Amino acid sequence: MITVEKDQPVKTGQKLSGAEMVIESLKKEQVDVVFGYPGGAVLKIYDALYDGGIPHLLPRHEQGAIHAAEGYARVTGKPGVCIATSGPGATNIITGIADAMMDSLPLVIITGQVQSSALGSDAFQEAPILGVSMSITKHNYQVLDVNDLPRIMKEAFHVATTGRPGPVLVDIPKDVSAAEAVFEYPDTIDLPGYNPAHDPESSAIQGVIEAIKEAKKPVILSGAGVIHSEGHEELTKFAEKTNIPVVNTLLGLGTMPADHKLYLGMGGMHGTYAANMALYESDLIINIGARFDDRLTGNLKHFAQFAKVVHVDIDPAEIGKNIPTDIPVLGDAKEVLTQLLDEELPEADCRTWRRQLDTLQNDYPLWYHQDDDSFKPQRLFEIVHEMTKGDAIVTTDVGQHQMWAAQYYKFQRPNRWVTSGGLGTMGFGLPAAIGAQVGAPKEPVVALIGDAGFQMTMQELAILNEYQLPLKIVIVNNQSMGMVRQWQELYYNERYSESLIPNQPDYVKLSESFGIKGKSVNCEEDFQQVMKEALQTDGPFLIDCSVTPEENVYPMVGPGKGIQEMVGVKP
Amino acid sequence: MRRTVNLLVNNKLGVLNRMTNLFLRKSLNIEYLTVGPVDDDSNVSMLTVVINLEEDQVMEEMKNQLEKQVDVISITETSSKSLFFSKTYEKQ
Ligand SMILES: Cc1ncc(C[n+]2csc(CCOP(=O)(O)OP(=O)(O)O)c2C)c(N)n1
Ligand SMILES: [Mg+2]
Repeated sequence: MITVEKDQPVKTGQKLSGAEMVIESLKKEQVDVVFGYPGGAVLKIYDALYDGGIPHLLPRHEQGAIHAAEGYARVTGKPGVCIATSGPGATNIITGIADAMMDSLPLVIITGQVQSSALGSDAFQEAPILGVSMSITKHNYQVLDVNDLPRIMKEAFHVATTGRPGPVLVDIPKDVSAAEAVFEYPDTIDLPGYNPAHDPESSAIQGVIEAIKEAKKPVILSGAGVIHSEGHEELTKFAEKTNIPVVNTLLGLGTMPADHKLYLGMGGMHGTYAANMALYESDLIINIGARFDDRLTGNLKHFAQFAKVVHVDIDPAEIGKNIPTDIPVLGDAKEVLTQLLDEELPEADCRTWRRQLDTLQNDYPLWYHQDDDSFKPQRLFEIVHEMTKGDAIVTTDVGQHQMWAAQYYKFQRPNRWVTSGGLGTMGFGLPAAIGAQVGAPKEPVVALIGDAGFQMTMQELAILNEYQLPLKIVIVNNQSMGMVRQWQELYYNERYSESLIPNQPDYVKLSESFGIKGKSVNCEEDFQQVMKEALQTDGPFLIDCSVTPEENVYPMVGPGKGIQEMVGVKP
Repeated sequence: MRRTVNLLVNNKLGVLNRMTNLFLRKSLNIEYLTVGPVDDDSNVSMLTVVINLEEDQVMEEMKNQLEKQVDVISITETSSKSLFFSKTYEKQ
């Protein structure tokens, strides 16, 4: 495992090269670890790294590096740092940057660039990454003078981690990392255009309280903003005090313990029927730190038709973007919840509503047919939940298995759920698990990954032993791009165009070739046994688990439908 | 409806690009644009953008996205008629 030497002396006031300044700045920002890949334009930086001070992980593809940085940020709440070289190195991280932007993950990305005198000349390995990444970063910089480097590094970390977090890219031409100047890391930030903090207005807080008093059918929708602000305990207290049931978004899973009596489950396309009907029929939706994403709302025409909408968000641009808001509350989720808890909070008058929702929960639980002796994927997720007692760090890729994980893994606390929500990035699961394990070396990390998505970044198996990352990888193998197959079955007359993949590698041999224990299973009993073995194994372990290929994710809000129009709500 | 957005921005490399990118994302065609420093040795520029847009809601979103930019110091919107240059513009 990677060890960090604390309290590194920082070379303030000395003459340093740009490359050394990068490393010293990272130390100043107390960076534990960087994920990166060397190349011509970052050789100077890697040379400075060679002297030590900051542990570095070498995933085998830059996409692996940036998803690892995301996984790290997701479980630690700290910024993930990623380094890539110019040109192909930089373009290889584009997907991860867009992913982090969508899911508001704090990243600081350092890219090398060609010599500044050669910019725009189609020099070897030149890609105009500043322009390319402009629309998918929270902010980005190109450093043209080494004297600006400390300030830019300071700003990059500040912008990435404050307000609504996001990725910030710093592009450094070769000559700038070689140039020298005196290193002074600034103590203050001077960004007149950047005001990320917002104090919730007391009139807004009072507005929420009045709305609760009037509501008969209130519901809380909690999203990732609650996790970023570390406001989960306040959220639960707020729900309990007001007696208002809670729906989580996909990225909000873990903000409320899943076994809490006020918890209705996940909402949205594959949410629970009770959660979606609560949102649909509600007369007061209190959205805390969610962005009313289309996979949650379904057809906007039907969403919140009868509801007064409260929207608590740190990002003013989210309020009113998708759903008209009656009571906007600009501010950090935890801060707003704390202010609400400081007030005389009324208990909502919603006994009938609670009873109605309890009935829905009882009448419409998640279901699947456990008819024959085939191994149903849903069962696999139940077993993983049981065997890890609902307390593992779980990462997924994208597709059916991701939705089943969200449905069947009952999270008890935040920062345990690592998934690509907004961008839906296949190939995320394995590298994100690596970053998660680096961020939480003592915690069990289980990567639940589809057979197709696994093949997108499976080269990262190469580093598990090298860095002693004891991940447990479960390939949920349905011999297909299950989610694509499902849509083709339901909406394209079962015309399975390019979504079935009967030709699969031998995953056990593959993992063995990387020195990782692997087993393949195809029934529940074997899975139970092998999963147990995996969890008891000190090192990494891969299980290739064949499941029924024809299974679909239900219930479901079909494309263009309102959230109340779910199909597959009952067997 | 013609709308004019006035942005006070940092006078830095790439800022114009950042702003126009946001209009592009919303599929808004820029009909008229000026940019220049507010005074001679200023590191602040005034950017004036005219677009043709009916929906208030989209305008609101556009402004919110612009406002969020680290390089945007302030933003105001007017209907183009209130601006002196818009006359010239609308004659065309
Ligand atoms: C990079 C990328 N390409 C394509 C898609 C579209 N897509 C979404 S789910 C899916 C199938 C995923 O298959 P698999 O990884 O086997 O997971 P399953 O759905 O079978 O559980 C595809 C192709 C995507 N989300 N990401
Ligand atoms: Mg699959």
